[in-house]
Amino acid sequence: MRIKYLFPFLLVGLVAIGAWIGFSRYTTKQELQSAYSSIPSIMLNSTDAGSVNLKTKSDATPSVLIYFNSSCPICQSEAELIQRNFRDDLETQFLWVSSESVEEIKEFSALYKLDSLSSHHFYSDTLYSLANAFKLTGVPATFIYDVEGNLVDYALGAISISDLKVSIQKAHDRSR
Amino acid sequence: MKLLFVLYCIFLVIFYFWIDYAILTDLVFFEFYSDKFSESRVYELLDFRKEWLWVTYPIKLMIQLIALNIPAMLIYLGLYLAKYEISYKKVFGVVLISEFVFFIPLLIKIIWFSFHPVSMEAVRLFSPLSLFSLFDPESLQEWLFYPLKVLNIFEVIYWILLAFLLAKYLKSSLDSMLKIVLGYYVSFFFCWVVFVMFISLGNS
Repeated sequence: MRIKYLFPFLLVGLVAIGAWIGFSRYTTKQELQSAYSSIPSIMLNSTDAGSVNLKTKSDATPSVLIYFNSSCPICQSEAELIQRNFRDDLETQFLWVSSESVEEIKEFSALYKLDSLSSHHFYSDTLYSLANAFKLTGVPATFIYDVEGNLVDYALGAISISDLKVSIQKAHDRSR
Repeated sequence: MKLLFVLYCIFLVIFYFWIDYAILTDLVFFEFYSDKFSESRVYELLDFRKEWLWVTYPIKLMIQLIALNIPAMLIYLGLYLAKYEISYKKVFGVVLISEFVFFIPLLIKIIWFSFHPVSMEAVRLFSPLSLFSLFDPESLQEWLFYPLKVLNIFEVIYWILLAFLLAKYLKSSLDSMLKIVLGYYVSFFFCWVVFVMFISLGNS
């Protein structure tokens, strides 16, 4: 007879496990969002051999920060689509950061014809400063910030170009 | 019983095959992925899909076999505790017959998209005769999609059919069998929906 009373407890257990998983995912997401909330003040190597602070680089215009790797097929796709859709957008700056060497990054930017675009800037982060600051475990990761450096949207993994357009528009609207 | 199971599997594969090849065509996938990936990458994905789609069918069948066993086990437990004498095989047979109800929404989906424009989003949001169909999806949060989709007319018919077939087989009243179905399967079903809801709430 006792087994009859065990069943409701199993059901409550199932719901409790769901609540626990949901809550832990929620808190993790909140922590990540607070880490992403502004562009971190980290030093990176630019492709012209200089050293820049990412935070100061993001001033003046809305920014799209892209953490990528040249060998990643999704990053390659994203570069191709961004080049095609945003090459004329001079009011938004695209900050491309990779943990690879400057040479590899230069090769990537040239391959996707992004090196000649003035609004696209490439940085090497061999010390994984951005990955550590944002607790990133994969590429690509795309973050959209308004002119004040506040997070507007982000996407971990492939981002749809229509979503990116909306987010960039949102960043411009907030900056006005 | 074996014949019925084979028939169920054949129907399931036919419906999935129909949806995968006649509704979710390469063009639909191309439109969906071209917003995320470059053209060459989308073609690679489509080639990959063409080559490996068949693998999903045995996986779907295995998942379905597990999904069939869950209500069967819960109802068997309920009947066992209520001191009804019935074998697990018979309960599984009742569940299997009742599961045929869920072919109706699949058929509706196929017919609907045979005459309406298809997009990945439209297929994802299509849930006939469900609570979900009463709302504008854009006004709903993503975590509400699953509970509102699974609460549909076919699910209710499934519960009633389970109770009806059990009552017929056990020569018992529909009322007592409804109590077993509601107490053991439907209670689990609602807890499962809440479980999924919590997880998707954490992601949203």
